[in-house]
Amino acid sequence: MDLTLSAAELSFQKAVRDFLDAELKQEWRGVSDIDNRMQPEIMAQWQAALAAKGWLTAAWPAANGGLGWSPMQHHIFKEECSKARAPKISAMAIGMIGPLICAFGTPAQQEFYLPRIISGADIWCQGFSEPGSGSDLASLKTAARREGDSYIVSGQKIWTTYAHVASRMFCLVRTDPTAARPQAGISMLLIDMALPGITVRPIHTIDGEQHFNEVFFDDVRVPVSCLLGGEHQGWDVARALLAFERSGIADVVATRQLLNDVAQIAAAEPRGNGSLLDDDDFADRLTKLEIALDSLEIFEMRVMEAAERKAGKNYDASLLKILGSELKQKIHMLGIEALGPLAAAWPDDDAPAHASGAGAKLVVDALFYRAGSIYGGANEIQRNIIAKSLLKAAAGI
Amino acid sequence: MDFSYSDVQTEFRASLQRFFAERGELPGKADPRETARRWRGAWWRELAELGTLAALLPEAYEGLGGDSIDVIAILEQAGRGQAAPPIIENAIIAAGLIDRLGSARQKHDFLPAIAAGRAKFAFADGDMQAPGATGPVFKLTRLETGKYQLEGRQAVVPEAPECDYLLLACGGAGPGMTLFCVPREHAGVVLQPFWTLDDRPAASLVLDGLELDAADNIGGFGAAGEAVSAILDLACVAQCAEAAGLMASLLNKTIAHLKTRTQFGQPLANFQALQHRLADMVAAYELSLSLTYKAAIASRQPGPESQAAVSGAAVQAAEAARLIGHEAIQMHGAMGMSLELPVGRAVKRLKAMEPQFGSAQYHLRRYRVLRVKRAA
Repeated sequence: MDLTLSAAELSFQKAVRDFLDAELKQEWRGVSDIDNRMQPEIMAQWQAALAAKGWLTAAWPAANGGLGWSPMQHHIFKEECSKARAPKISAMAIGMIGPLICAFGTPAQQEFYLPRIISGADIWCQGFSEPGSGSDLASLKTAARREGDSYIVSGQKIWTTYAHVASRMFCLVRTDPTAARPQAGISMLLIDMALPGITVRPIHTIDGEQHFNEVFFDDVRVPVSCLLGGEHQGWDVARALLAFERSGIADVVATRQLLNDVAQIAAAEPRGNGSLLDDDDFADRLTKLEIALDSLEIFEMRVMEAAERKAGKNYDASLLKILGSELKQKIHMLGIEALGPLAAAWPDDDAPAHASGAGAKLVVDALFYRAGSIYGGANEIQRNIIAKSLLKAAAGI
Repeated sequence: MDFSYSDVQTEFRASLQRFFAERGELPGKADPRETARRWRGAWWRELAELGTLAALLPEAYEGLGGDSIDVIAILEQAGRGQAAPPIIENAIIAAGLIDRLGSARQKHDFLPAIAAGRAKFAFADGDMQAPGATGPVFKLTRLETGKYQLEGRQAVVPEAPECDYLLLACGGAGPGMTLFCVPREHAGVVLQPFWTLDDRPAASLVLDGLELDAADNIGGFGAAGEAVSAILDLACVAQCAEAAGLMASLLNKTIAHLKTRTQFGQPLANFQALQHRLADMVAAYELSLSLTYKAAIASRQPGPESQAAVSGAAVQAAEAARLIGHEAIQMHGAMGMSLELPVGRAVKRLKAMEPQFGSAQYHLRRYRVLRVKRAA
């Protein structure tokens, strides 16, 4: 048992650091510290730099530019990028639809879409949730009726992140309303957002941003060539997402930065002769969160290391997701408490600034991050997955 | 990076698992104190024959030359088997302190006896890690006769009624600490035996005019602090590992119960209210186990980093133990309250062990101080 990286891992880590030193421009650093600040132009430039190095698609299959990195290499790469505050790369394009097209796409689809994903020519959005289908995704109703060489799509998607800037959507639709099981009648379509009949309406969120949209399909004619995987096989295509590379779920490095921000806020809040950071009650609570973060950091390494030995558990990713998101939310809440009355000020230009300089953004980020326990499979669903897996397995812990 | 046990450790764990399962707990209605007596009698010598008590000792003294990872490998397995022989007091604290600090003569006299299970020890430091204690807690005075006098008291000294020797650390924390070894039956050592809530022998200790010779000293005067601190940290990690084993055992028993117990015509496993709490129990267990591994690895090189890791592990273990222990009882319903079920006994063990090497609050504050120092 030991915590050190192997010589090969250390040299890989150094290669990543050298690359980041050389290629990651100062003005790009920190632009997407929080998931909700997408900067498409910077993201495209950063992705181009990664693509030139061959690292953008490291997790893809070898035939499509994948590098066969070990789970630990992915972990090291994500960790170093996070430490250097590199812009996020597009989770939906690079992390989700790219690998799906590699796995299920026809040669023609791969030839058309993959280069556009790598170059950033397309921004992708994910058309899964509907007004009546959130966690119970298989109940989705958006219909795609076959008519000659086209599907006629009608229905509505909602909570569609980036739909207002996206040029394409990977979209789950119901192609067989008579199927015995709801999962059996679903297909995945790659939809050009410029097609006639698509209306995108913004939804403004509690953090004052626009991430979400409603997307309406009014008899949109989508060519059959845009079907990904087999007809009625869409559920299996979507499920394949669960098996993709999952390092970085717990977001430990960013959460440690957040914890430091909260400590800075507390240090700038006077209390008696000292600061809030010297207050035993506050400091105890902050320390508990720091210890929990230490635990999570090691647990994430254990998950990666177990994956290398093919000894991982099928609910590891769910645990990381729950622990990472809920810990971050707790730290946000403590930060808001530390801000005191100033936490009530909406951080416009005319709002009073916090002495720490770190304060203004925290409330907005905290509001945004309520979504952390909802997106990517709500934490309730993750708890279902963990419990069902434990209660089904013959062997215990 | 590696979080697995070596082949040798895995094999040893397997034989320990069989050993604990064969002895294990006596049948449900048996007096748990009778189990405790056997763990300190016939079973203790069998445990020694397996090599358990020699894990940390150097080969020169019939030891196996192991380290902190061997320690957690053993204690985690003991926890899983819900077996509570006094491994920590003997194989870690006594063996570790005498190995590091003892003279050649003391090592020769004591270490093979520890390894073989022939001599048993208890350790007392005057509750150095109790909340508010700043030491010195056992007072050491040099008498005109050339002898040394120790005075002080400790409310709970685990294993004291069963031990052959008491190790007494005086002078409080820090470099000024001095260690003595004294036979349990000795003028000036007043023990009031009692049982702990997890059915282990303990005693309150009063040192009332205890006089000792220089020969009773281990490791010189005012020179034991560093070793005592490192060994107590190792004991703390070992206990976190035992706690992890106990928590795994509680989880497995709770899972089995949810699968088999039916109410409203279906197994409890079907109820989401219970499923979600089970998921939280597992999450707490994995977090705690993670820091225990980190602390064990860091303990190979004792210092501020390892101290912070140990304190972090202790805080996380205490938190996980409370959640898992209480939820395990709750989900077993009234059965969880029964002394016949191992669940309640595991929870009592978790409760009783928490303060032995520093309470969660002590470790929380120590972690904070170390972090501030590290940042400065």
